[in-house]
Formats: sequence, structure tokens, C-alpha cells
Amino acid sequence: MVRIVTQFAVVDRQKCTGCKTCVQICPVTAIKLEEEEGKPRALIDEKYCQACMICMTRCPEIAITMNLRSSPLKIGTEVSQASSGEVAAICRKAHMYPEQIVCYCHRIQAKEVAAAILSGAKTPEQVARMTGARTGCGILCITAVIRLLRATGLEIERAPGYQWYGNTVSIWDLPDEVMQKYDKEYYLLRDRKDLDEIFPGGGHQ
Amino acid sequence: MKANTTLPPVPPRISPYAINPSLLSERAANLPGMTGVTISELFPDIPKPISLESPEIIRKKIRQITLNTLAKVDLSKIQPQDSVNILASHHGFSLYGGEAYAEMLRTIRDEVEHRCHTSNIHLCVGAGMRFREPEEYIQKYELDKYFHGKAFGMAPVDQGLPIETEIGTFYAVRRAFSARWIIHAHNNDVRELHYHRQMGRLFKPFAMSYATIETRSTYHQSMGPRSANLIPRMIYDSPFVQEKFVCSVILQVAPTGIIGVNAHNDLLEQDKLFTRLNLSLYGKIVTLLSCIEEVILIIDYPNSIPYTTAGGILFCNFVNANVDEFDLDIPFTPFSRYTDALYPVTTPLYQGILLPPSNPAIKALIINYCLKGHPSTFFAQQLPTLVVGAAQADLLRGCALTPTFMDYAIQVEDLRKGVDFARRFSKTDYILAFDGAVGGLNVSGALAEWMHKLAPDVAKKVDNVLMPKWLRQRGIH
Repeated sequence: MVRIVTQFAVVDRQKCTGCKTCVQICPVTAIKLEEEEGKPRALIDEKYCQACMICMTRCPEIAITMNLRSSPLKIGTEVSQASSGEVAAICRKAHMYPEQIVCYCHRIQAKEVAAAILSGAKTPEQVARMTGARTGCGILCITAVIRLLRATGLEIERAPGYQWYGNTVSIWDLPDEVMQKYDKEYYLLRDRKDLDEIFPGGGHQ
Repeated sequence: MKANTTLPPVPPRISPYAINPSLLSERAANLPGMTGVTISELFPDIPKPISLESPEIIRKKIRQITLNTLAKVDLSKIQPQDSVNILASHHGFSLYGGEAYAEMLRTIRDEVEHRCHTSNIHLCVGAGMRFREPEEYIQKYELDKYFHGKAFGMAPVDQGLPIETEIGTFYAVRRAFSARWIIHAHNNDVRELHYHRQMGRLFKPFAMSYATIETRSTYHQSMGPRSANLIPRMIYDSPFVQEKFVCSVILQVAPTGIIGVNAHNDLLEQDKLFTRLNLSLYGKIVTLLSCIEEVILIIDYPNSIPYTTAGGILFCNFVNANVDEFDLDIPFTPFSRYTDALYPVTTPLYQGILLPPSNPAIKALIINYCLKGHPSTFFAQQLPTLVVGAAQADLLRGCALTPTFMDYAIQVEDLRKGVDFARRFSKTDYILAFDGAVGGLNVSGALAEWMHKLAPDVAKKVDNVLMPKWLRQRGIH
């Protein structure tokens, strides 16, 4: 799926204090600090910015606005270029079906993320640059992206800033004693059974 | 039954996430033939709300009942000069005007200062997906001034910190837990029933409002719809949180309005009380709405599409109303059911698994007024959707979370033309407005008549059949 981005973020250099908030949270790491008259100022790389507006809505100085691009930016990974068998294998290992929507904002499917990984993406930031995932709400799809990356054997440690902090548990990772202990209250065994039915080829990572 | 008298809808608000209120030319409640149906008329046993006629009365009454309940909790852990974070959520301000929640927060602050001899008290307001929203509320209710400059919003993309739990590491917003002590100040609104399924409802903010993105994402994408509720419980149970936790203060709401404030030192015990309470408060209206077989919905409320309300029930819960989400034996799709369920079945992996469609009763969805800032394109993709006016359409189009919404929706010039069109293709006179009317619902006359007729049987079914089952499933006898 190709997404058309028509805007990009711009920093008002007079207002910017160089606090680095935007640098730390940009999901495509498009922002860096640059010295200007001896003071650090944020600079946004237009060619990577996908106009998610996350920086704009966290900037404490309200120094970031959106501008129209002179020509639209096209974002997307061509799934047909990747081996369908390898894409399916990654998704299966991550306990996802290839058509599953992982990014609800831009409707990006698991197979698109898998194809991006096969094309060289090694971090959630690189996946975001290639597919557009992570550039809507910036919240919901991070663990899906991490699970798909880990399914290829990549070790995911930490983001460069606050973008994300690390891998978290999924229902397939819960130890049996935890499953037993809390099943009565939280229906763990039953949810696991349903998930395993949906992903018959899954198995533990 | 009071014919042709509608309930006041929640007024529009000035916000970067909304169209200018001057562009909202007509509200659903003003349409000819609309009428208000109160929850009390339908279900007389649901508790009556506290009478809150003006901001002054709200402040006076909420302050008193908050003080009354706080008098029963132990605050002795907090020593003079200790730092305290009152943890709040933006959701609380969207309930029945928001002033009651604001006053509850102010009262907690004052009582902690009074009893514990510390003024080092911060208000930390968590956000959902509109990261500036807490700041809007802090400004609107002058909480920054009240907290002496110590009130701030926090977003899930802010700096995090790890919390070690029995099931692994999760991540929280660092600022939420920066103080020596925390007070959990939340509400019991049933809200996203499809997520929490009334299993540990009061714990949920520990995996949401106070958490960073990966914790929220794990809850939504890496666990099932029942098992995910283990995550906030584990975070709450962690040594890190237990070391800081003082008490929980809950604004008690019902479909009728605000009914009280409850404080407790033990969140687990408090949650058990509220599980029973919420099933009894919301079970009947949810079940009645689930019986509607055809309807035109009008979204007309200053919140994002899924969080607009009618009779205290969210629009997204109505989208799922064809399944009893209180019934824990129903193993519907894992992950975010309301998103996955709305996508076409494109994979054989789904064969044999219960995958209910979106509520087939929804014949048309008219977006008259809502906020941007929530992934909602799937609603337009699955439901015949009309958007009223260019400004509202542009708002959705220009949002990074719904950039393709208008690819699937039709723009209409005004609300009346939209309703006329929807009536023609849906062939129904049943209209329901999600406009946040307090204590009831604004509906068409035909739907009002149907609701009044059916409500007694629904009440009997809930009391005699469903409630016993729901309670049994949750180990409550």
C-alpha cells in the first residue's frame, strides 16, 4: 500500500530552545540538533518526515508547525518484491497472519512490515521509514513491529531516544505457572487456545 | 414519556482537535422528531445522579462527598514535605462536563496537604492519542493555578522507565512515578468494554494513561481481549508501584450521571466492588441497545468517533453490540476486536473462529461533529458513512490518524440532507444520537417508543439471566 504524504514539519528556530524532545520521540528519526549561533536548534530532515505530528504535539515551546510539501512523498513497501514464503514464515513465527492490520492508522499489514524487514529494515525506525507504520498514533503498532523484527532473529534492544524502550511479553511468552496462576481471573488458557487456533502454524518463538 | 423534548447535548468545544464551534450549524438533538429518553424512565432501579445544576453546586457537592470518602482512607504513609503525584486521566474530564472530576482532583490535593502537611503535590494528567488534550483540560479548569504550577500533561511518547513485574518488564511514563507517593484518581465509566470486558476495569490506567507506548501496544496487540487485563494488574502489583501507592479515588458514574466518589487503600478490593456495580449500572442499557435491529447513528460530540457517547455508552461499544461483551465465555477475536472484526475476512486462518461482523443494526453513520485524533478509518470502510460539511471532512482528512477516512465516506452539505439521504437508503426511522446527553439518549420518536416498550423485558432478562452469569464468570457470588 502506498501512502502519500503531503506535509512536513518545520521548526521555528527562534522559538526552539534545543530541548531535544522532538529528537527523542520522532518515530522515523528525522530530527537532529544543529548548532546555530552557538546554540542547539532542532532541524527536521524533510525527506524522512511523514507528518505524523508527534513532535508538533509534544514540543514544549509550540515551535513546530506543518508545511505543505512542494511534491508529495510516497511511502510504502512493495510486498510482491519479497519472497511470499519468507514473508509468510516471518508472520507465522511472530504469530500474525500476513493480512493482519498492524498499523490501524495507515492500514499497514503484517506482510508489508515483513517485506520491509526482508528488504533490510533492522529497527522499528527503519520499518517506519519504509512502510509508514508508527507514523499515525505512534502507539499501537510498536509491539507488532518488534515481534516481526524479532521473528527474523534480530535482537531489539533500545531506540535511540524515547521512541520505545524494549521488547515486552506476549501471551505466547507467559510461563505455564503464570498461565495457571491467573487463568481463573484473566482467562489466559482460553485466550491462548483461541490465539493458537487462529495461528495454527505459530509455535513459540 | 415526554414527547419531543430533547436532552441538551454536550456543547462543542474550542480545541485544536475540533472544527470551530461556529461551523457547527445544527445539532442532532434539534432535528425534527427527536426526543429525549432518560435512563431513569427506562430503568428506574439505576441510581439517580447527584443533582449538579451549576459549576458552583458541582464544586460544593463533589468536594463534600470526596472529603467524606477520603476520611475513610489511610494517608499516614505520606510524611510532611513528601512529594505526591495525583495520577489522573484525560477521560475523567470528558465525563458529564468534566467539572466534577476537576473538583475531585482539587479536593484530593487539599486533603493531602491538610492531613499530611506537604504542599509538594503534583497533578499528572495522562493522555490518549491527542497529546495536547491534558493541557487543554488543565487550562480550562485552571488546575495549573490550583496546583501552584505543578500540574502537567503526560503522553505515552514521553520519557519512560522500566517497571519489573511478575510477567516481565513493562514501561511507564517516568514523570507519573517521579514522586515518592502516587494517588490513583480515576473513574469507573464502562468505556471500552471490548478491551477491558469489565475485568479489572479500575486497574486499566496502569497499562494506559500512565504507561508508554509499548505497554499500551502489548495490551492491545500481544494478548487476547480477556488476558490483556493481566498487564495493568501486574504493573499495579509490582514492588515498584506498591512502594509508591497510597490510595485510589474513583469518580463514580452511571448512565444516569455522576453518583458519587469512592476512595480505597486497596485497589484490588475496590475493583471487586466496582465490577459488581458496573455490571448492574450498565448491563441493562447495553443490552437494550444490543436489541436494536436497524438504526441511523449520528455522531455529534466533542470526542473522537469511538468515544462519543449515548446513554453513557460509547459508540465503539454499540459497534460491537451484536455480541455480549460482558459474557466472558464468548471467545471473540483477539487483539483489538473492534478493529480486526471490522476488516474483511481475507484469510483462511479465521475459519472456524468466531468473528462477528460489526453490528448489522447500523444502517448509516452520520458524522455531524467529532474530534480528530483516533484511528477510525475502519468505521467508514465498514459502515455507510456520511460526513456533514467541508470543515468536518477536512478535519478528518488532515489528521495523521485518519488520512484516508474520507476515501470511504460521503460528504453532505448539512445534517438534515444527510439524515434525509440516510433514511432513503436505510429505510428506517430509528435514529440515535451519540451526543453525550446527560442521563439519557436523544433518539427519534419511533425509536423512543420501541425502547420504552422493550425496556421492561430487557430489565427482567438482565436481572434473572445475564447478571447471574456475568457475576459467576467473574467469581462474584
